[in-house]
Amino acid sequence: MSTSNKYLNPEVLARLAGIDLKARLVVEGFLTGLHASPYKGFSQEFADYRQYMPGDEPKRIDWKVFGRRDRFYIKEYQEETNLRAYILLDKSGSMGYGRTLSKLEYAKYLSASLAYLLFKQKDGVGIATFDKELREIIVPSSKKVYFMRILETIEKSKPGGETSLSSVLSQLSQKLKRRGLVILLSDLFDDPDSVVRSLRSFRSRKHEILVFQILDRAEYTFPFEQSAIFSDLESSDELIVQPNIARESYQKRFTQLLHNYRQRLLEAYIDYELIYTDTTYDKALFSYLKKRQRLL
Amino acid sequence: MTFLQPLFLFGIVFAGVPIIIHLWFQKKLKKIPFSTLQFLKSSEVKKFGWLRFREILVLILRCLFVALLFLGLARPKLQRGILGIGRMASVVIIVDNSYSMAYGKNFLLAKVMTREILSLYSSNSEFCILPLCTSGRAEKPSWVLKKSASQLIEKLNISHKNGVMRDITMRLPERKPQYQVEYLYIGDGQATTFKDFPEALVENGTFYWVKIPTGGNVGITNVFLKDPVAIPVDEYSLIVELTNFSSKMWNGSVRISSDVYSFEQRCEVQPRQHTQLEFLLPVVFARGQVEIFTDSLSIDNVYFFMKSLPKTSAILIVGHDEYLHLALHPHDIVQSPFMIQSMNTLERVDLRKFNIVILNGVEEISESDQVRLDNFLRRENVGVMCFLGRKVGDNLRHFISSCCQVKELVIPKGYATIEWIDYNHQVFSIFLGTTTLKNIKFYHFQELVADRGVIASMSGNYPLVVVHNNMAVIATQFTPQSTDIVYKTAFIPLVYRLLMGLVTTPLNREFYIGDKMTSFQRLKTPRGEYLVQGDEFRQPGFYGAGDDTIAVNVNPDEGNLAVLGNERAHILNIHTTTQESIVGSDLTIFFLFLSLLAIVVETLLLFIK
Repeated sequence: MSTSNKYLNPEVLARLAGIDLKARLVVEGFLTGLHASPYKGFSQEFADYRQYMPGDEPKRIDWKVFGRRDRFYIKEYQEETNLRAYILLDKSGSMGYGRTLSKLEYAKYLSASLAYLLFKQKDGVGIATFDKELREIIVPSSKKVYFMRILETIEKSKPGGETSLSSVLSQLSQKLKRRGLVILLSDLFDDPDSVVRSLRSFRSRKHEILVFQILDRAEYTFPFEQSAIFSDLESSDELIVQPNIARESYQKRFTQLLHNYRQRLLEAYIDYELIYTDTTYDKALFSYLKKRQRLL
Repeated sequence: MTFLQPLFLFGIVFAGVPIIIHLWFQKKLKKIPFSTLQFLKSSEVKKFGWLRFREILVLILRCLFVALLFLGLARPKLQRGILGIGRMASVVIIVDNSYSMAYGKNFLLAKVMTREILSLYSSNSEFCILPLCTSGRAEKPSWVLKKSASQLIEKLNISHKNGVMRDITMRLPERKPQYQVEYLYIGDGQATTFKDFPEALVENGTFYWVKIPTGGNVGITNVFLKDPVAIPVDEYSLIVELTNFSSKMWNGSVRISSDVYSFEQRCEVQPRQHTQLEFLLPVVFARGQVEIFTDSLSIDNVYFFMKSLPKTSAILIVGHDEYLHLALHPHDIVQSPFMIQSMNTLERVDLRKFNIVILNGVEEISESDQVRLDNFLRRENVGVMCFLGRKVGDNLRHFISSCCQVKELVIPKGYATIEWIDYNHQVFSIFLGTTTLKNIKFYHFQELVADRGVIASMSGNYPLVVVHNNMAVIATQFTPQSTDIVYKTAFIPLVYRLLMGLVTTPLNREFYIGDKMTSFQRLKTPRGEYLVQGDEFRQPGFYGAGDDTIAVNVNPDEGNLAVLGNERAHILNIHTTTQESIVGSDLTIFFLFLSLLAIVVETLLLFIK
């Protein structure tokens, strides 16, 4: 792993201090890896020329330069859009779970990275944190002051409280008047029907939605062996469980949940990405960029 | 409920150990914070209830396992036995080791019961362990403590003898008992065991008979020659007598076999009846064994026999021989079993050539002849028969005095006839039910006096025939002047059988266990050991004595498993009881089984998800 790319590894990143630094390292590392990618630059501000390469759109050829040099060159521009992005960060108790890195920690770095990327591309970025209620909300802006507030909000987010995702999303859909890109980072431990119904209300208000379901790998595999008292991070309920016996039906129900979300979000034309906390951030960032490309 | 080993009851406290282990491990359960329990709750809530229930059930079963195990080890008894527990007494335990106890596991059961009974008594009690059957060299028993008594019980072995209670009092320890005496007889209680039961046993203490159930059976009660005085030519008849001692009809097969021959017959015997089977065997087959099958007890299923078959005899007739010769050689074409030589006097005759000497009307013999005849009679398979004439000299009187006394000549008015006959005697047995010996007239005869051996007598109670050992004395001569028997059909068979009866008084070659060996100097037992004169026979089978062989069997009485009835026991003042009532019903196996069941169910539960 190169020096820049290593910060895409969540475990490495967790050891660093300061979320702004983390976000910058993630994004810079990510962008360094994208030097030959077609995602680079879609704004109208000229940045540089570069030689035409197969795959580039012919409409982007600068014919004046061709006239002078008899070679194909295309212009590159600094990206500059009026995209407004809302990052919705779930900080409920269940997000506090994680064997090496909690889901909330992962979600925080990812949301900071996304914010940094959006800020760097001059897009307006805002954030909302919630558990069973909406806790904080910062309206989208491309100003640096706002960006710093966003990072501060992300950093101070602590897991706690129960999840009531559908009701919070319903509230937010009412509050977010101007259409934009809604990026939801949550473990989605709520009823899929009501959650998708709430997300549909965003769609009805012309928002684009990108859902990152963040899970710990252990939540899927349920790798426990010994009988133990399992304590619910949200409700503090306790249950004595014999994992060997419970695993099969647990996995069945859990997979059913994931399948429900995937199926229903697909039906609702909502982009959905399942991310485990042991995967690197570039997967999420790619998803974002794909989405952004479609939006522009 | 009582317990033979109550100390084990303390072990029941260990039944709490599974609970402690359970609680300990429950406290040690690791607490794992988890994102949500909704999937566990929804999917496992029912199952967890079952698991919880199963856990409790398993816990209960484990506790039960421990508790039941210790309960079982404490040897529980459902009811208090009639002897109670911890009793102090001087106890004479008579263990029936007679051969009938070889039935099934009866002897083993008797030993187990004896040990159980021992455990009921206080450790200060004293015991005398008496096997019902002992060998002649058995040591005099003594009073011992419980531990030694237990060791003595272990050493007890089954005997081939038949058990009798009559000499028990002779075998009691010399030292007086310290406490009240209790007699316990543990056995099948054959009626024959209690024959001549010594009353002293019930006068000095309480006598209990702890019953061991026995099975009915069929036994070989006798094997004998059909006609012991008939000289067989090629074959002879052997009679096997079977007795059905049980209350059910017996149906099975009987086999006679030797090294070479084997004959088998099927038969059935009615309950409580006996039957006789006749086998025609070659004369060379005088030794063998009879076996019966399909029986519950092997005790008398084998009978070893060794028969002495009558052989051709050489006869010396001294005196008038006309009619005797006629009787013994009835016709030229009939093959006679006798070789006859007639002489007028005994002088200069080599008696070693003859088996039988007939003194037919001889009035006197010399002293030297008397000595020679005495020596002659010491031989095996020989006999002397005296037909007395009108006069009997002193030497002759003296010679026959070992058999009977001769008084004087009797001349009845008219004649005398035969009045009484011992039909059980082998000489007369074939005349039973016939009239051939009636109306035989005797005109004169010598008056004989005998306190034994009279097998026929005439009117006026005058003995006609006296038999003792291998000498027979007939009160008169068989001539037309003395009797008209010479014209009767009974004449030939009577003379014939009288003669054969004398020489076939067999040297006994069949004995029973417990009999003492007297006939031989040394005998080799079936196991290869040696018996000397005076030793007891202890095991069935063939015993070798040089070229000779004898057969030894278990006494047929031992095969009679008819038990002493309750009424008879009551008359004898014997308290009959069973294992359950004396030591209480043993629940040990029951509790140990439950304990095992608990652990099996627990294991099965752990496999159920």
